[in-house]
Amino acid sequence: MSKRLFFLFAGLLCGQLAMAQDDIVVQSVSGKALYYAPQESKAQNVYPGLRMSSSGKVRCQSGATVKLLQNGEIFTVKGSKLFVLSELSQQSKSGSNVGFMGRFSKFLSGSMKETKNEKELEKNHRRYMEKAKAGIGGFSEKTYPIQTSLLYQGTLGVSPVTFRWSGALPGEVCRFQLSRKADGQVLAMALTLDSLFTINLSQLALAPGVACEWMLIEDKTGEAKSAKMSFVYDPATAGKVLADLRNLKDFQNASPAEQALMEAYTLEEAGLFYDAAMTYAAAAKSDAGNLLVRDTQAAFLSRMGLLEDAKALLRR
Amino acid sequence: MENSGHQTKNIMIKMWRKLIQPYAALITLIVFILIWLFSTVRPNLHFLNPFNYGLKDYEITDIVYSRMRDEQIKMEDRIVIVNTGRPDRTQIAQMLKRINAAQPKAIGIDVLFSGRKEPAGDSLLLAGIIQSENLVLASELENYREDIGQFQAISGVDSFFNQHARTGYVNFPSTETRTIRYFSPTEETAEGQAFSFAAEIARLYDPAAFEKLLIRRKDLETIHYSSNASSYLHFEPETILDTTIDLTAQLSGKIVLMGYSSDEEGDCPLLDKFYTPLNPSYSGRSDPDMYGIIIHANIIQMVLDGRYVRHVPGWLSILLAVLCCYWNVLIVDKIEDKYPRIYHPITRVIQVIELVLLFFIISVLFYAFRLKLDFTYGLFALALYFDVLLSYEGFSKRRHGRLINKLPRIFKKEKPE
Repeated sequence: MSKRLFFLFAGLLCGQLAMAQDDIVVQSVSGKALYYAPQESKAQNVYPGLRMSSSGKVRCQSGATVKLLQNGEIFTVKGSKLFVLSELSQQSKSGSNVGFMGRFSKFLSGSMKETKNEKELEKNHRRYMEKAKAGIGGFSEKTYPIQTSLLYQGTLGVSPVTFRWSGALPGEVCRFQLSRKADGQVLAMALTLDSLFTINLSQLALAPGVACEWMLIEDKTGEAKSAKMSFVYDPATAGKVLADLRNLKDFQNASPAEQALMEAYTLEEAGLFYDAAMTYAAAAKSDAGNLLVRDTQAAFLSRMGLLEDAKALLRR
Repeated sequence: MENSGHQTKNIMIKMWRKLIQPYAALITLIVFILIWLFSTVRPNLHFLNPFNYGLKDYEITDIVYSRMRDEQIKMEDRIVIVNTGRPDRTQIAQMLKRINAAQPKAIGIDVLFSGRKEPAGDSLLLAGIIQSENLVLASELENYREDIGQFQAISGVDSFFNQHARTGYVNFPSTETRTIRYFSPTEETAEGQAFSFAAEIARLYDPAAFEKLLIRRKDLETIHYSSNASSYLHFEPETILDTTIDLTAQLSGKIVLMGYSSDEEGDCPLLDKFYTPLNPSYSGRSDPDMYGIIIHANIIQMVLDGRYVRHVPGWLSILLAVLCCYWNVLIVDKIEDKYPRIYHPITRVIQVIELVLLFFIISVLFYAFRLKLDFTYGLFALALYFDVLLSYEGFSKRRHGRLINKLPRIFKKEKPE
């Protein structure tokens, strides 16, 4: 009797395991993909909700992607190679998915790892500093009627520079003022009705590496209309950064559009945001219709706090 | 018998005497006065702003969502997501026709059909809308007038279409950081009461669940995010339009949400995408992590299951914070009496352990019971009480600490004989 019961339970357990393994559901499909059920010669179209056998196979057509759900885990299948579904269980990471206590201790130990030594702490500290700085509201508690973007921060290498802002009332006269940060010496000043002002920094008495500040001021009252934005003018930095990039083999083998994106990315990484914006704009102009260029430029603009410009670009 | 009762009474009195210490109460009071001062007087510290910006839109419970959530995907089989791609009215009309034929229980289109475009496409879409009895179109609330507490306009959907379908607003209350934590189930407008897009869909699918939402009478509901995009069946436009596929099995009797939710990497990375507490970067800026349509799906799921986030009342949070602070002062007092030489490091270790423990308790309450405890004051009190205690002791020992020395003896660290 007990032997029978044992075999019954063993059989049920095996059946459960087999059923659990068989339960593969298509979560989403992008493009066209075909499913080959076991012992069936005819393939069928893959669509969300389709249940598949783990002994079946899937083939994606060029560019297609299939997301499969098995045992609470999502697997992505792409490429035109015939994919055997039994391989999913080998790719499974479900063993690492611990309970709440495990995840809690993992989080704590992870936090400790980030600060385990001074070097790590410094590295992570810098990472958080950069992220925090990316916020446009990070300059002062006061909110100003005129908003600018992060483009005019960091280092400016190109010249002339067109400073843009938003929020000025139509017909309002604003004073654009550029001054040296160290002693407040005014380097350039102009009254403007517009929401942009172009200035050739190379013509100013500015030594490379000197920090400057610019802002917009109410002409009559002298009240600040925008936050002070700091930057360093250094025409040589961009050249140095790009020279290193251009020596790379990957860069030399890339297409012109990819090269432009690589340059823009490198400039952004080096804190040359305005120069990066110019490179993106040039790439978009020379390669109009290239979706990769458009989307990368939009993502960059959103990082710079120009979300509306980014959205407008995507709507085109 | 009488003797044992008398003994118990004595023990109780002794215990109360031990627990009620004016000295500890005074320290607690000072700690909370300090917290009150910090929270009301906010000096304009420019140099702290980058940190503030990175952390101001952060809650402890975000860590539960982003780091301690169960990563196992559980399929939500009542809701199906359909990507519309870049909204093209003719294609949406064709998709709607196919979806309608599969007899779903409710359809929501998270696309704003404002204005009229190409007449042929508009007519096709109108025909599709008329055929769908269980359709909700997205709309927008505009022009809020504070004096009458009312929105003046419902826009975003042309009168050509909205005559033939229900509408639900897709506005979310959020700060400039665009983190979506709450939704407003219903709002007053000049045209009467309006319901949110998700609430209107829940009303079609399960009127009883919708009634429960209304009975709660909350201006704002905290969204309980239980799923991400992978938890829903996700259809691309070409799959919906493929006539060789029978959609009935997948869509019949379900909620179909149509909106922009492209799976393609790099395809419109920002369109209709928002920050949520599920974002792995729970502090500082990062990329938005969830499409609007998935946020609606999470809200619908929450309403249908009645799994609302509960909040511990503010007064109870403050009371707990006061008790926690008071209790700690008493404990430190005991430790100092027992281990006068090493009580300093012991207290610091206890402080750290308590902070971790509190974080754990807040996380567990939220994870297991969806109970949100705002223990900010408690955490501040825990961080401050020991330093306040040391300062108080130091101050009372000095000769110039006349004010403290004038206080009755019970307010001093040294106990009365």
